[in-house]
Amino acid sequence: MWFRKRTDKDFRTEVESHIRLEADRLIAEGMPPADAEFAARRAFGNVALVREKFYESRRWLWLEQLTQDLRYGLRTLRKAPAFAVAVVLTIALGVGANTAIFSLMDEVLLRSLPVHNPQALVFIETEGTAGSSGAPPYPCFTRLRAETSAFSGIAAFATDELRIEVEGKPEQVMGQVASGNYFELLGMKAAAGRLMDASDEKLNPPVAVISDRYWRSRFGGDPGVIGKTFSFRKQAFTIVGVTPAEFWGLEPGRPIDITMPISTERNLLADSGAWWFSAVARLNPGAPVTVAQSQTNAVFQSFIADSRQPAEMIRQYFHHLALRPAAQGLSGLRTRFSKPLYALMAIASLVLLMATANIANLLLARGISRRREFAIRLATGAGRMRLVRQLLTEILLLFGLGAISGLLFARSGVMALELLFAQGRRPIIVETNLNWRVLAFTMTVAVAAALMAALFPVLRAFNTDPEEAIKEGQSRTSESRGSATLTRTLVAFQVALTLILLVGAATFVRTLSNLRDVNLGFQNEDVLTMSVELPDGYAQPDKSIEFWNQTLAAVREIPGARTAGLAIFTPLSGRDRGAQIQVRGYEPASVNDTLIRINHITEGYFETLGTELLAGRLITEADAKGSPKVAVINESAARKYFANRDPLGQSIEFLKGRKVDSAYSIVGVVRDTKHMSLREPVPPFAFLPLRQPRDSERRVTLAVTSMLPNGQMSFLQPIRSRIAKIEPRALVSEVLTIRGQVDSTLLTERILSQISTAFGLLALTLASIGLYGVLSYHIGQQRQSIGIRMALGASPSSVALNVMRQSGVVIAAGLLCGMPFAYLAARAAESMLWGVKSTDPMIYMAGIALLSVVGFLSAGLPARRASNIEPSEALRHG
Amino acid sequence: MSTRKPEEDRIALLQGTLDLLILRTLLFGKEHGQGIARAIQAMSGDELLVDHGSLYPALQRLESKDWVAAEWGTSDNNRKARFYRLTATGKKQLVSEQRQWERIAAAVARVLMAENPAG
Repeated sequence: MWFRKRTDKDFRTEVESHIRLEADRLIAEGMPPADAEFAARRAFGNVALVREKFYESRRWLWLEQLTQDLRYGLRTLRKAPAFAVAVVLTIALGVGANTAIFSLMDEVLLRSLPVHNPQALVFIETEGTAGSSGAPPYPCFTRLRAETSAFSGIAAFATDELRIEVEGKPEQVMGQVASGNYFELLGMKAAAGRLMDASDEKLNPPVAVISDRYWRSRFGGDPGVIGKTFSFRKQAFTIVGVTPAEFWGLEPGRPIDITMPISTERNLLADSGAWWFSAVARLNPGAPVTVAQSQTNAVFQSFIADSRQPAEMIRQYFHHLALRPAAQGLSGLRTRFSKPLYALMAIASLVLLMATANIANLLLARGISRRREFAIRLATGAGRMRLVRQLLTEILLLFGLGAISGLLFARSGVMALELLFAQGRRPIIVETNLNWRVLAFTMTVAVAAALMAALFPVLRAFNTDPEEAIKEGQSRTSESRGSATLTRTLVAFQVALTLILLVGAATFVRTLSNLRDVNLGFQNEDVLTMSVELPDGYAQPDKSIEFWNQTLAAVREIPGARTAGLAIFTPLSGRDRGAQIQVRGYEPASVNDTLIRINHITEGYFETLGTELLAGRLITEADAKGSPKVAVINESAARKYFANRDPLGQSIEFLKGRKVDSAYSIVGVVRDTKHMSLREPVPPFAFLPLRQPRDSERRVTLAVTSMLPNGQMSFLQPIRSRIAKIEPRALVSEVLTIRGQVDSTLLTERILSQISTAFGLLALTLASIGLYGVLSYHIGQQRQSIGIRMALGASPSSVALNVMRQSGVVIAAGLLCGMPFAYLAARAAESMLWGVKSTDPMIYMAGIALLSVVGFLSAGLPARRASNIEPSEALRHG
Repeated sequence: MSTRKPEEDRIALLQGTLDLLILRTLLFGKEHGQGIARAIQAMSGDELLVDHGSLYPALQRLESKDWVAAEWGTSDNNRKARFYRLTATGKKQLVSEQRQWERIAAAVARVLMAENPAG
């Protein structure tokens, strides 16, 4: 056993026995017994010293001292519970905020895919000046597989929300089609059953693999799920296996439920003009990326040369193939959230700094009152190092307790954020967990903060002069001039930090409110929308139009329903459709100018949203099969294609390839409504009647308003049951109000403004507590001198004024120092802002005004107390 | 006392040699602290001064290195005493330390005996 603890008592017995034996020996040699004992002791030397050495030689001494210090620390904390609770809470908030944000960062920005050697994975993407657009069409992909040697495998995959039927009931899942070698390439083993392999691409029989998440949520983790079937596009797929729990797919935030062989999309596979999937490849060990890059690009260039794409399209979208690191999966989530997350991390660090400064001040004040204790301990022989160690142990204890409670705070905070992310039409699913990185981060942050907070108290402990401290007497504790400056500097520092946080909060709050004030182009946000998807077997447009007619009629009959309409998608839903057009009398300068957004709608749609008609008429029930094809365009389209002309009566010709495929004559112009984002200008739009479709769309959005304010949600059940009566296999999903939809597009702005406001106010509270504490403390210290001044004729009001002036100086110094940093922070955040500039004085004024008022208020009480000092009392009691 | 030299005539122990002497003493069998002190004195012909007290930190050190092992027993005159004995690793250590010591002693002796080195 390596841990062999010998007791002190055992050692003492040995020493005594030694002396006994030596004395025996001396007596045997003829010494008188009385002298022998003494001589034996003398020969032994200093018994106490030897025992001390023995004590110190023990391996666990430090642990013993640590437990001693901890016990002592806990005892002192228990004697000052208010102090302890205040400090632990402050640290918990500071550390908790940092841990919460870091665990999100860890999940969104730092985590690698849970697959075999993710570093060797790359995505193959087409790139041009307009950005990247996924993998090249499947025929080119097949050539890449055959004609490159740098990869051990290449796999294609595409994800989409799919309607499937399980046990005859429709449901919506996050679906994926993937090459047969997809899982093998990722190096994955099935959690149950088997995963797909290349032979499954034959679809004989069709098989599918489900995710662990879906397995648990849909099938309750039933092991009998293997062998079950579901139907997708009239085909029965047999579930053959479950993917490992940690694998969610290659796109972070969008977990896959079901994976099917890519051959399920057999129509797309042959299409050499369809850009619809992503490609992931594994580099051979030792194969340089540059070689792989030039191999793939060579294949692509020969493919694109044959494609007869216009040169401009090639330059903008299909210029070359690039290999992108795939270790962290597709970058959508990272691109969207990396800036906001860094901003939040910066805010959280400022809050922690703030908390640390507050605690440093509290510790300093406490250190002053404990000066005597330290002095006495020094005088009775404690080493200074031992004292410092004691102090550090106490501070680390506080921060340790704070960090543990902070972890709990962080958990609930992160869960709230996860819920926010999971809202909206396309929920983002992140699941943070307490992994070693998060724990290591929390520990590092807590220890660093503890050391910062401990710096001043420890320095003071080093400089304690026992004689001085004891001489200063029992009842009074005094403070040197230097430490008064120190505590004030700390408060000024807090004021500066608070200013930065308040300015940050002001910019984000303004951004959010500016975006909320953005003219959406429609009046009603209290519109209930839901996606309705028809089952297979509605390939005939007539059949589905019949269904939509019945549905609209049924919904309009629901009591309380005011208006109802249908559209393929609604504003800000994140869905988008485009088509190529030509307009007589308009000369496009580039390919982009021929692109127009299209939506198919019914009568009632614009009425439901409250979109203003600017000219002509809206689409009616009569715009159906057999009547002339009509279109309504938005302002942008009118401005762009009919600059100085009247668009009414003109026509839009839709192109397929280079030929005109259909023409719609314009009957109306409506107000622009925001499309993908509140920040972007509205693109040109053409609204076509749903009953005069250009293509068949089985998935349509139903929009309804209520006569009662906020009554729209009560329609959900009646609508569901009415639709089920018409077609039981129709799938109703993505139920959401337009307001909710707008909110979900403002997700990052909402998170930023809420968190920065909460933290700004927290900082303000801490700063005011800091200022109050320091001023009260100073007044306590200066009681005697204030008393003397008043005895000599100073008026109470001048004393109060003096205190106010002191606090004014501290606040002004803090504001002055904080300003440049607040400006830098606002400038760094500028790309996230909307309608606010870092040079806008308003965002600073608010913070400065708030801090001044709060500073004034928190100085008021101590000032009053100072002016109430009774000179005779103060002088008598000191 | 009469059989022993006055303390000031004896040689103070060189740093580090105490360990070697203790190990060497224990080569003859187990012995308690006082016995070890006496044995070193006796074997050195009373030339070496062993401060009995300093023996114990040394024994503690050796024990923690597992070169010696200890257990309580009874002395010749029936007193309770803690007996130390060499462990296997202790024996190996003794051999190597003794060789080391001999080399140092021989080297020092050569230096001291040398004629004019330059000549």
